[in-house]
Amino acid sequence: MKNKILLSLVTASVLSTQVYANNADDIKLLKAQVNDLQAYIEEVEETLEKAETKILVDKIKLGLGMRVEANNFDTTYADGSSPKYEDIVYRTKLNINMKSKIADNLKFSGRLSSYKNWGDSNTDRAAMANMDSRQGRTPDNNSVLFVERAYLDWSLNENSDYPMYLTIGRQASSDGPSYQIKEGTARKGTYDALAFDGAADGIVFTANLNKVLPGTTSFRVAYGTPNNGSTYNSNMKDTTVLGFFIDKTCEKISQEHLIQIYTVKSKDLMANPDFGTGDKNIGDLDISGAMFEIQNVKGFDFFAHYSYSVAKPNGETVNLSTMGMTATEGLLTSTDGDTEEKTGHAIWLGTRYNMNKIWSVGAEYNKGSQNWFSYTLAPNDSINKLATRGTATEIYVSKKINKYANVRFGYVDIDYDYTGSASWIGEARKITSTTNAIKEKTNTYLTFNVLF
Amino acid sequence: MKQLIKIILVLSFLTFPLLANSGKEIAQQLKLNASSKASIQWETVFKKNRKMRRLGIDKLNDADKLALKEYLTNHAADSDAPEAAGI
Repeated sequence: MKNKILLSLVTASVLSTQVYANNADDIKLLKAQVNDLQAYIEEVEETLEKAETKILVDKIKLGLGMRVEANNFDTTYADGSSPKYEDIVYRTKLNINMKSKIADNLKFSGRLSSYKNWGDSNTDRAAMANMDSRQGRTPDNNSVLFVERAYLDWSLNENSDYPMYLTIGRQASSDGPSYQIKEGTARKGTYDALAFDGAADGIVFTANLNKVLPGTTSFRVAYGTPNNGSTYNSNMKDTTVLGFFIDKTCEKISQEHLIQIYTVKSKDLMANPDFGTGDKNIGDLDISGAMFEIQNVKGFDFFAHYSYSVAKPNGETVNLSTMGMTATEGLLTSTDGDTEEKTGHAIWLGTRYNMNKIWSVGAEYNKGSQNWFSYTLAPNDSINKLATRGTATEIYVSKKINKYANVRFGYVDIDYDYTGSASWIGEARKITSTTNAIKEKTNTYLTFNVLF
Repeated sequence: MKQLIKIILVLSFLTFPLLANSGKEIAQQLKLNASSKASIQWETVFKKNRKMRRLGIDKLNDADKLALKEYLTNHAADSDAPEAAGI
């Protein structure tokens, strides 16, 4: 028995020494590993600090937007003549996009733009391209970079159930819904592109009611003065624009979609800011409308827009005889003293089918009535099809090159029924074979687009 | 030609069904915020089982994983973002 106990004690003693020895080795190994890990963490920390410093120092995040396009325009006049002005018009559009989060309650967004005809030295075009709403959006004869957008989003009440913002500066008033469907991008502007497309300065108040209403709801009030008349003509009033917009999405529709309804009142429109002292206030204009768009429905995107405009001439007219018009041109009238309201309306429908991740095809259709007028003086497309007093159709095929680039080949056909599309001056007259006006315009185009 | 386009557009509006967009829904279920990572970081998540496990993605079937990946990379922090006043 004693021997057994002794043997057990010896065995236990040998084993425990071995365990102790093993523990000591493990601890040594663990210590080495901890030291390695500590060194690694220090290295990672140092790298993270460098990255953090870079983020904090880079105050503005830059992005690139670029479009290189080849356009083949064809114009047919009402008398059937079809002079060929150019063969292929090549253009380059450059957007330098800027974003900055200045503080939790203040963000900056901007866009510097240049839009240039290749090899263009024609200075006649520069005057139109320099108009406020067109700067950086109308092809020009030089490569000047315009400030197309520069605005601050100021959050008035962070973390509230009713978040409110003031957007101050040169607004995101161009390339709005539903242009992004053809472009294959995210939404690029605040307002329905059928009614508004161009650069604009102003102040926008936005209230988001997402926490109190189902889906998402944004209510906006926009104010701007597109032409500051009193700076050069003390007899004139400044044009003022006041608009109310509601953006809505529904909880029950899971696809990306948007409903927008709006009404905008513009007072004291000017005949033309370029006239200087010869200019006059010629009346008021209201535009109201609604739109719906939805994306990714079995590979299809769809949109439908409707808008109507009411022009209220005040009877004043200006003399445009030197420009080939009459001496009595007012707001959608050519009769001195005419104060009758002119109502116009337009629709814009479109679809895009994404065949796979690379290829997509699309078609768009819009029709405008005799007195249709919208604020699309600086449109996304080359021939301002959405301002058409008549019918415009477009078909296109688009190929994705990678996540950031695509190539699009398309054809636009505009058939004008009335004169003066996109102009707020002068009577819109029915185009007949004897009218000295463009009856049809087409553009076959190829564009290479990058957004990075 | 113009008539044909009109007919196609009208028919398309009348006939399309509204289908579920699973990628967004799955992200909401898993409480994943797409803009919390850059697109390349989301791609890395889907390459590593450890990262997928941590976010609960490993339990999804292949089709759902694909839909989720597409949604997350398309709405990642460095992706094309909507631009409008107050957004």
